[in-house]
Amino acid sequence: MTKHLTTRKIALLGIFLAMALLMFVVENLLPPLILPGAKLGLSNIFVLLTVILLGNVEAIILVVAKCVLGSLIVGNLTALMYSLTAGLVSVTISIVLYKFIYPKISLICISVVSAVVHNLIQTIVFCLITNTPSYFMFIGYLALFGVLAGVITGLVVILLLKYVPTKVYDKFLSINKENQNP
Amino acid sequence: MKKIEKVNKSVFFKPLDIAFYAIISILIIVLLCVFLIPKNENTLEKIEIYKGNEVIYTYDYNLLQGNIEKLPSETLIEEYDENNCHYVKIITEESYNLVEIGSNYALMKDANCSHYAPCVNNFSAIKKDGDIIVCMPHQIKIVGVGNKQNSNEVRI
Repeated sequence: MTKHLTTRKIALLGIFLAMALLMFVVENLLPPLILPGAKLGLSNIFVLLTVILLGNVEAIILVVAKCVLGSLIVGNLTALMYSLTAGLVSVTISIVLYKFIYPKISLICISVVSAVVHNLIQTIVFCLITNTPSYFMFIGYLALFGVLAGVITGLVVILLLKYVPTKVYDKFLSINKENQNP
Repeated sequence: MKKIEKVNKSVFFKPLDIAFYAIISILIIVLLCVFLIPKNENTLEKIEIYKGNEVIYTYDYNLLQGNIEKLPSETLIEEYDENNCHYVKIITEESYNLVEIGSNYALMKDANCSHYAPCVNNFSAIKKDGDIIVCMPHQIKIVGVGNKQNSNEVRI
């Protein structure tokens, strides 16, 4: 575990969590885009960044913390049921694709698959919890919306990794140096 | 830092992406076909308000009047008209939901379900058959009901 979660990694995870929560809260204040409940899910930028830079366990921690804290901040704990389920499934898919198939596929593709699955799971769980099968009629549109959200998220992640100077990440991720220091 | 270098070297599109995009496209087309065709564009005939799985209130657009169907215990329903709209307030000891019913729409005007109230802010107004608004914490559901005869004809 110590190998997984060093102090620097926890610090970077904290920064990513804060950014993700900020995105989550701001997006919740905005009206839905075209469809009820449709959001771009910009907080997932930091989830994908965590998968790439920090690791699988850290990404799952980030998703759980983001969903729980986000629901508490927004004041909608019932949304936790579907947002956490969808978040965990989609981050698992991101991890599997990144670990086993990347770089044979692009990051945008990983992001798109993850976003579509997120929207599908969220809609299914929402319909089951609220007993509203009529909401299923939005599922196709929401999956389509997931493609758009996934492309935007993937693009932003690539741009962040390309244009933020490498030394910024290096400060947090120089695990070997930290471990060597007593 | 190898991870970042790997991303920097990568491109926006890889040939294998096509396989994933194809699967997603097929999935979306199937979902759109199953759930959207036939598309229900019937105008509203009735608004039904559910508490849990039971209809507690209906508003009939033909009669232009509402009716309390079933009043669950410790629940109060208040109705009033204001600015050409009919308002239905569902009150329990700790919760309330205010439903606005207009000439061709219905929406959740106010609720104390949470600080943000997704049922008020996230759901657009009910304007046709099958549209819904859900308030999960209070188990309130508003459903638009259209002309069933017409909708069955379309489905056939």
